[in-house]
Amino acid sequence: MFQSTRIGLILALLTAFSVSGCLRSSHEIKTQSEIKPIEIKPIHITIDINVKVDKALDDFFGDIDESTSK
Amino acid sequence: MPDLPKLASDGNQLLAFRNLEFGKFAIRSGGLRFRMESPTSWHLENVTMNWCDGKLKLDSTRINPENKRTSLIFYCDRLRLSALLQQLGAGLDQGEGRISGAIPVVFSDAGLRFRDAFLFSTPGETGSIKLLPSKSISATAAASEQLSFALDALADFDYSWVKLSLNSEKDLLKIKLQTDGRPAGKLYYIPKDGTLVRSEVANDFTGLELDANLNIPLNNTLQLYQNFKQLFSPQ
Repeated sequence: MFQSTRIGLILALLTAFSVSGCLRSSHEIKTQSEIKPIEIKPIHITIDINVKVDKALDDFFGDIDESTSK
Repeated sequence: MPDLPKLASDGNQLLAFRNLEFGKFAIRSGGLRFRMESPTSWHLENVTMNWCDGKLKLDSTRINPENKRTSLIFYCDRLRLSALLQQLGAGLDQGEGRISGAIPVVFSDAGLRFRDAFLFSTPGETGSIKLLPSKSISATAAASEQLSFALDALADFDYSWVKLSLNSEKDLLKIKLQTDGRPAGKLYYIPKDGTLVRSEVANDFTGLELDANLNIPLNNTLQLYQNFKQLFSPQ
């Protein structure tokens, strides 16, 4: 009688562990679906860019300065 | 012969060149027809240059080298946008897509000023932009996710139309780029709360209408004018 109760308790614990394992794996699947790439509908954006003095432009005109000073 | 001491030429005089390069700018060939009415009055009958696989034209106009203010209107005829961006140092020369329009400019001691210049893509013809921003723009973009997104989108962008306007205002050159299309690849951004934020996965943007307003200090264009003046002035 006591032995059958102990076996029943072990079986109940094993069942609980297996159920918690299932729950955990289902949670992982949900996380994966959240970071799946999505298709984004057409959008309209406006941006303002304030350009500071461009070094490349100085270099470009440096060539002309050199050629005219010769 | 009251006009004998005065110098003048017949009309339809031709000045042609095969290749003109300065810095990144390259004009493949061109021709200028003119008449010298006097040393202080030159009639440019027409100017045509092959630039960016299209034509750059100037209609009949009269110029006086002694004038401190000269207004000209250049007409761009089907310039390849990617070639233009590359010559401006802002992109790669890849892909098709052409733009046309008028560029009114005023040369004066205050510099080179643009007066409501407007270029637009050929109707019914799509194209692509492969923008390569300068280091200063990339550094500015690092602080703004919306600007970073725009630059990433324009790094490889297929457009259905594009419009470009240039205007000088006070001490700024204002450039407005408007385009409608979609990024060629997926981008690591996602819309959130009315703005765009970085995302861990690349998402597919099915359409993007973009208005980009660039403000460039006038001292750059002033330098442009001074260098051109230096280049063409007698030594």
